[in-house]
Amino acid sequence: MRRITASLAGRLLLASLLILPLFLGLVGFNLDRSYRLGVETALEQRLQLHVLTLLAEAEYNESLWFPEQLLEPRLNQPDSGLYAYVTDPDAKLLWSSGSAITLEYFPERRNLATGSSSFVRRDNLFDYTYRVVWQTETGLEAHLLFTVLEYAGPLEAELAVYRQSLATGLGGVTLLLILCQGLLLLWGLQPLRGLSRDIDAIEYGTSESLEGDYPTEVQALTKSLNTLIAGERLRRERVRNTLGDLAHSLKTPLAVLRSGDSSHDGFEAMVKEQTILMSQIVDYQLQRAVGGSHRLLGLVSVTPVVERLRESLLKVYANKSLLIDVAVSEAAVFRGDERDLMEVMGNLMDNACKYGSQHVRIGATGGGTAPLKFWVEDDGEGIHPKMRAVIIGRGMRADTRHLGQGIGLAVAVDIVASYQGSLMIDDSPLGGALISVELP
Amino acid sequence: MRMLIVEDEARLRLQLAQHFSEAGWVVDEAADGTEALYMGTEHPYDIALVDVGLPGISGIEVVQQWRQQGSVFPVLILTARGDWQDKVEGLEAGADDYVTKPFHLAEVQARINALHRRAAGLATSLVAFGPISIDLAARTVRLDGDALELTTFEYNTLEYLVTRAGSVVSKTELTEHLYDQDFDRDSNVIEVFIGRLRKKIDPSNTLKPIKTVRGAGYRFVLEGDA
Repeated sequence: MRRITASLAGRLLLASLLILPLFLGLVGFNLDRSYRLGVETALEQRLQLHVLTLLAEAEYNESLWFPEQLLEPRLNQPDSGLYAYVTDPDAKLLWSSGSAITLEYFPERRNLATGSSSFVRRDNLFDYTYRVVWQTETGLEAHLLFTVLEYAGPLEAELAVYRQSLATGLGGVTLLLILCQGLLLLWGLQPLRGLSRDIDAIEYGTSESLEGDYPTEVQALTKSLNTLIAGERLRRERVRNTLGDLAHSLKTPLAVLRSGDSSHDGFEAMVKEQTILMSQIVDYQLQRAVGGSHRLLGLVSVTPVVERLRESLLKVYANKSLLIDVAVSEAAVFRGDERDLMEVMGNLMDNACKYGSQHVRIGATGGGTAPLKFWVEDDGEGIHPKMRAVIIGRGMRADTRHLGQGIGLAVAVDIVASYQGSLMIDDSPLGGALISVELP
Repeated sequence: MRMLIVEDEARLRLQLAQHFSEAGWVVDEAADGTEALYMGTEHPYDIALVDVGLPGISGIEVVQQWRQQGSVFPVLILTARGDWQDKVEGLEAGADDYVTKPFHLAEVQARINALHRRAAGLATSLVAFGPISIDLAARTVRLDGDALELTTFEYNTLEYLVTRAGSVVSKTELTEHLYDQDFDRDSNVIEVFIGRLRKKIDPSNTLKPIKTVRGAGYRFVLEGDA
């Protein structure tokens, strides 16, 4: 059972197998009931007609009289299946038809109003009774009950034939529907099987992305999967590059250390300087590796990230009594990994708190479909225009970037670049640096 | 001043403990989160240095639980991962500052001093009370501009009283903050230090900066210069 429910086709087919027979069974029951009611109503009308004919044939003077041969031949023929009786209200038999000679019939008292009728089934006979008041020529009134009985056998046989035909028809329809359902499932789920094959192809390395002509319902999924696959590829590439850069950039200080003369006076200072440099390189490359390209991770609201950082930095720089103004639009959202936003904002805000005197201002607008813009400014000394290009590292290889100007800003530049964004350094109206970032 | 160092790496813990002991701190050590939780709630520390990456209970959980139990001493966290997510989580848990590994001991020392100063409500490391001036960072004391020769315990006693100027500090409290957990609490050595300290910072016995509050302890009575 678990194997069946584990598959979409299995689930749908199982549901059809359970629901279709139930549904068609209910349809069959209702059709049978309707047909039976129709047949019985027709029989009642037929028996009523026989009663009316008998009324026309009967005469009552001193006693009840019928002709020898009745108009309905079946009432004259013994055991014909159609029988007639006339009784008084006390169930006393006054007359019976020729067909009822061998029928054992015991009239019953029944409370019927004059002019009304009853139609019931008694064992294997249908009974139609009609009560009349007969006014004789002498002015007497005779209360009479005219009863016509018909054997139920032919009607039951007719119903049995109908039921068999109905069952055969509905059974056939059920099988046909289940067959159609199976074929529909095969056809409908074909794109999913294709998608599964395409994913296998990526796993085996024979394909790089999902490029099939998928139905619109799964296009959002395939698009997201393609973004995830591309993001993972970029991440792998990024880690590989980071490792390469790390190895490459560590070799220089290692070479300096290896070639250093330990007997030289400045050896200790040189070792200290080179280990600081190596530590900075490791920090920088590690932080670069943290940044990702997870565009798939959705939208991250900027306000909570900035508020968390603001609270943390107010704690860290408590001795500076900083004023950190936040003017971030509530609608400002970042499309990507929250850690990346935290890393960029954290580094920019930390620098502003570190180099600012008392006042730091943070703002953000846009996001979602519009580009996200955010900026961090302070009232410190600012960054000299000549240093700006060096810090941003435009046109420089990441591993050769000068780290002395602050790893944080360099990491922010790298992460922003990985999102195809741009980072600008300007003068702030507050007097210090204004770092602005725009992400597409 | 009493400090708790929580670090699972034995060599680093020893280096830190040695450094801060030499700097005049009374240092207790814990190698894991469980021990740190116990010590932090049992002893009245002036500051704690906590590594985030502890085995079992993490450093962040330790700080969180200390704060939940009402501990207010400043906490400096040491983190090997320098990303902001970790720093913010540590600060949100209740830490007051962070230092990323690898670090220079001088940097950790500076952060510890700043936190300690901040906890005492002092804006700068230099505090003056009339002719007596104390440099909390350099751990030096001057009287009318002349440097005084104080032992580590004498300095610690003075610093503890000065950072709580105006408040009565009991002998038990002084003992707890100036000595490690194995110290014999019945000793009357505090009285001896106070006596020596009075002679050194007030040789003419005119200022009377440390007042004895009978049955309660001591109080530094001079008011700081604005």
